[in-house]
Amino acid sequence: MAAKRDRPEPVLPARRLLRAYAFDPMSTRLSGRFLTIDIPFEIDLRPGPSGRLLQVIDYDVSRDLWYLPVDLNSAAILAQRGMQPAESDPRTHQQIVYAVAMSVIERFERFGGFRFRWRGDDKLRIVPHAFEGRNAYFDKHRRAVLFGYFRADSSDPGANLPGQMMFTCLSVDVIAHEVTHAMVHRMRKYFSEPTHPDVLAWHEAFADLVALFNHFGFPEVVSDAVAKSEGTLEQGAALLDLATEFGVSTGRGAALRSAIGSPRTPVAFLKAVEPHDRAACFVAAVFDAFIDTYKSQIADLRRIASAGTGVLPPGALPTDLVNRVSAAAAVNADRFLGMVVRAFEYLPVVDVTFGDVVRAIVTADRELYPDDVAHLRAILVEAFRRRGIYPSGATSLADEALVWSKPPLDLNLGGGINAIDLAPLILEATLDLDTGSTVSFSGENDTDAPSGEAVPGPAVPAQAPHARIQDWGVEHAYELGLDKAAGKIEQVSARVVYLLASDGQPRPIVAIQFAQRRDDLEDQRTDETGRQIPRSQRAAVRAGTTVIARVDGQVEFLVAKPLPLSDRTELEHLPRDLKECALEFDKAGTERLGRMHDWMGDVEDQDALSAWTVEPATLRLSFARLHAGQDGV
Amino acid sequence: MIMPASSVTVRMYNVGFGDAFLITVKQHDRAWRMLVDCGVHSQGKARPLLDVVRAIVSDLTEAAEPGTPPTLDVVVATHHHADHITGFAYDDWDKVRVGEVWVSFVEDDSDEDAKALKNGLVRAAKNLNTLIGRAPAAPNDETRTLALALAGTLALNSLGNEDAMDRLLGRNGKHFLNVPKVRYLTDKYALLNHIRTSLPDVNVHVLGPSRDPAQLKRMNPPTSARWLAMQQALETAPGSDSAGSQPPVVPLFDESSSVTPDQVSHEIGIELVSTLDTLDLPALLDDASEFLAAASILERSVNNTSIFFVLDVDGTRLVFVGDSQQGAWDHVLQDPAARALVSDPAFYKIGHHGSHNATPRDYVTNVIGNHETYAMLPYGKVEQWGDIPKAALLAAFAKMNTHIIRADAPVADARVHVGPGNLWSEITFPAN
Repeated sequence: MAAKRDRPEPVLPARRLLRAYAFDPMSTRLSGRFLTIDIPFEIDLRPGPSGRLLQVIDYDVSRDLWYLPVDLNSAAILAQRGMQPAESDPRTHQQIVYAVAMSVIERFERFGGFRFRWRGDDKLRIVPHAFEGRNAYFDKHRRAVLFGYFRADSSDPGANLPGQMMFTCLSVDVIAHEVTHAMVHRMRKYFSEPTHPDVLAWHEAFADLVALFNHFGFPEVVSDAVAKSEGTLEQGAALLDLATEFGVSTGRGAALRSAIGSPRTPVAFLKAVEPHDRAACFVAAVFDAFIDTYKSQIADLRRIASAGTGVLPPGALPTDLVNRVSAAAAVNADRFLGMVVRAFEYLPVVDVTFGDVVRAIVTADRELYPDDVAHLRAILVEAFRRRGIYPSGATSLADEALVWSKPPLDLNLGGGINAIDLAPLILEATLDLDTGSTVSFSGENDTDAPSGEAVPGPAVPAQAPHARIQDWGVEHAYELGLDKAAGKIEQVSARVVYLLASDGQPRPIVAIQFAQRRDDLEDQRTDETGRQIPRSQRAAVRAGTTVIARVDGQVEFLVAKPLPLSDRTELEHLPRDLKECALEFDKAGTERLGRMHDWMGDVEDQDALSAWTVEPATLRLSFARLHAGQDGV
Repeated sequence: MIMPASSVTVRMYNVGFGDAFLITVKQHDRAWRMLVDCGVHSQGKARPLLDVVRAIVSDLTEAAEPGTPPTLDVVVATHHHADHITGFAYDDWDKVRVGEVWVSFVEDDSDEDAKALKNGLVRAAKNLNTLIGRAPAAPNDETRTLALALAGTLALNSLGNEDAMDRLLGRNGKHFLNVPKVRYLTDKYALLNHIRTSLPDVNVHVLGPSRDPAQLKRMNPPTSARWLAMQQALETAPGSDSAGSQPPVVPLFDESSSVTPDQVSHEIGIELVSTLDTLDLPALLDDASEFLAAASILERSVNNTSIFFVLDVDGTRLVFVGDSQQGAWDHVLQDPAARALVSDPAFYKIGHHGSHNATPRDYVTNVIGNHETYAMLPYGKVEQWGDIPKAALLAAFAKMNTHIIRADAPVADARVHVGPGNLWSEITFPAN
C-alpha cells in the first residue's frame, strides 16, 4: 500500500454549501431565488442529518411514520450544493433545518469567543414535522425544536392555495428564531423562568434580532434589495424593506413589522407588557442604530458615485456600487449583532431586564473598544434611549453610569482559602477553539446537576477547577449577593471566553454564573405528609450572580440579582465591611422579591386557568404557549 | 326633613357552588325586594336546587300581604352560567310577581354586537363540549382525565341554561306570574345605569359589564390558533372525528418518502431511533390541556359579562359583582367615580366563589378598607377545585378585618342569622 501513501486523498472541503428557500417557499416561488447557506463541513455527518451539534428527527407522530433521512454526504447531493428545495420532498426539509440551524450557531460562535456546545455535549434535536398546527417552538424539556405544519386558510390563503399544506420548517426566519431560543437557553437556562415581564421578552427579542440580521448575511439578497431601491439609497429604504419582509410569510412578527422603522418614541415600549411587543421595541432600536450607521458608512460611496454632488444619476445603480453598499450593510449588521452577542457573558443569571441588557452591552463593548472610535456604542445607546429602553435608576447615559458596578469588596478568584487555579480553565477554552486539536475537552464544564461538580472528560490534561469554583462561591457568598445560610449554591457555568478587542487581539475573560434556589421564599403550602409541596409544582425563586474576572483572577464586575437574607443573625460574627455588604444586597433583594411577587401575581390574574388549578401560572408560560398566542406561528 | 329609617337585609341561600341572594330593604312599613341569581353548579350541589327555589318562594309568600302574590321588585340574573341561573327553570316561579328583570346586555338579541358575542360564546361552548365528548379517554393518565373532566364541567356550565333564560326574558311560554319589563345592562346611555328604586334614597349603580370595545375583548371566546383550528375542523366536517385526536388520514408526502415500520431498522440510524424514544412525541397529540385552556377562557369570558352593581341604601353600600374576573374589574377600579362607589362598602358579595382572579388584590388591600365589612362567600365544596376559595384571598380579607360569611360553614357572629338546616345565612345592616 506504499503507493497509496504517495497519492494522498484530495483534501476534504472546509465548508459545505446547501440550498434553502429565500426565505420561504412562497417568496421563492415569486422571486425564483434560493439561498446558498455556507456552513462548516462536518466530516462524519450521518443521515438525518445527524452531526456534532444537531440531530434531525423526521418522525411524524400524527401518522406514526418516519420519513427517509437525507444523507448530505452522498455524492449526488455534495456535487450540487445540496438538494433543490421542494415542498414535496421531506429530505429537502431536513436539509434546510440543518443548514439554517448550523449557520445560526456559527454566527453566534463568531462573536461569542468560545466553541459552542450544548449542555452536557448533547445535541439539539430538530423535529421538522412534529405536529399539525400553526406553531413552532423550542421545548426545553425535550431539548428540541418542534415544527408544525398546517393547511392554508380555506377562505383567506394569502398567496397560497386554499387548503395547501404549509410547513413552518421551511421558513428560514422561523428556524433561525427557534434555534436562537435554544442557544439563549444554553447560555442562560434560567431565562426561561419568567420572573419579570422582560425575561421572556428578551428571549423573543434576541431570537428575532438574530433571525432578522440573518437576512443581511446573504450578499445576493442585500444586493437585490439595494439595486431595486435606486435613488433612495440615502434613506436605507432597501434595508427597511428587507427587514419588514421579515416574518410576513410566517404570520409572526406583526408587532415587529409595525415597530421597525416606526417613529422613535418611548411610547410603545412604556405601554407594552406583552413579551412580543416589548421585544419588538428592542429589535427596532437596534435596527435604528444599524440604519443610522449604515447611512453614514455609505456616504463616501455616494459621494464617489455622484461625483461629489450627492445626487445620484437617474437609472439603475452601477453594479459596483451595489456590491460595495451591500458589503457595507453586511459588515454593519455583523457589528451590531456582535455587540449584542458579546454582551451575553455580562448578563445576569436570572431575572434579566432590558435595562440589564443595555448595561451588559455597554460594559462588554467598553472593555473591548474603550474609545468607541466608530461611535457605535454611543449610537446604539442613543437609539435605545429614544425608544425608552434604559436601566431604571440610571442617572446618566454616559458609559461610566451604564457599566456594571465593581464588586463592593475587592474579590479575587485566586485569593482566599479556596483559591482557584484558573490555568486548566484557560487551557480548556484554548484547546476547544483549535478545531484541529487532537486533545479534546468533551467533558463539559456545565452540568445540570445542582452540585456543579465537574464531569471528567477523556484526555483532559488537568482537571478543570469546577469543584474549587463551587467552594470559592460558597466562601464568598455574602460578597456575591448570595446567602451562605440558605441552601445550596449552584455553579451554573464557568468558562473562559476570548472576545475580540479593537486592537484585533483576543481578550480572555473568566465568566462564572452562580445561582441559588430559595425554598424558604417560595410557596410554603404543604402536602399530606406535611412537607413543602415539590419544587416542580412551585414557581422557583432564585438569586443569581454573574462574576466577570480577568484571567489573573481579579474580579472586574458583579452582576447580582440578590434576595433577602434568610437569617440576619448569621452575619453577627462577620467583619463589619462584609456585614454591610450583605445588608446592602439584602435590601436590594427585598425590593427585587417584592417586584417578583407583583409580577407573578399579575401573570396569575391574567391566566384564566388560575381559578381552577393550584399550579402557578408562571409555570404555564412556555414558548409553545407564547408562540401559539400569536396570530400565526 | 327627617330621613326615613331603613334597613337592608341580605339572605344568602346555601345552594352549594352557586349564587342565590335575597335582598330586602325596609323603610317603615314599606319593603323592596331583589333576588340576585338562583343557580348551582352541577358538580357542587349542597341540596336539591328545587328545595332552595321553594324556600325562596315560600319566604316571599310569607312576606307578602295576605291575599297578594309573592313579589320581587327586581330579579337580577348576573350572567348566563348554570351556577347563577338554573333555578329559574323551575315552574314554581310562575307564582311570583316580578317588577323588573335585569340581565347582561349580552342577552339582548336586538343589539348586533351583543348577538355576535353571544353567538361566539355559545358556539365555543357547544364545540368544546362535542370535542371533549369525543376525546379518547386514557384511564391511566390522571392528568389528562382530570383536565378533560374539568374542561367538560366548565363547558357544561355555559350550556343548557335556555329554559332559565326563557323565563327571565319571558320567551317560549316561560314567564313569572307576569311578564316583567327587561333591562339589558349596562345601558348604552350612562344615565340609565343609575337606577332609582321605588323607595326614596335607595339606588342602584350599575358599573358593569363594560361596553368599552377594549374591555369587550375580555368577553370574547377563546382564540388560540390550535383551538380555532379544531373548532373549524369540527364545523366543516361535523360528523367525522377528524377534529379530535384521530390520526389524520391524508399522507403528508409521497409514499416513497416514508419508511414503513418493518424498514425502520434498515433505513433509520440507531441513534435517531433511540433519540426518538426519549422525545415523548405522542404527548404532543394530547389535546386535553388545549381543551382545558379553551374551557377556562370561555368560562372567564362569560363571567366577565356579569352585571356588576352597587346597591346604595341611604349611604350604606352593598357591592355585588356576579362572577366578574380580572378584566371586568379593571374597568371599575380604573374609573375614579366607580372606584369610590365600591370602596369601604358595608357588604361585598365575593366574586366567583372566592376563586383566584375574581377579587383583585388591589381591591382587597387598597379599596375595601378596614371597616369590618361583611363579605359573603357563596360556596360549596367541589373536590377537584381545591384552590377555590383561594386561601391567600381569605387571608387578605382577614388582614383587613373583613368578616367572611361562608355558605358552607357558618361562623358564630352575633349579627349573622343562620336558617334551619343551614338553608341560609342572613345579615341586616341599618342604613346610615
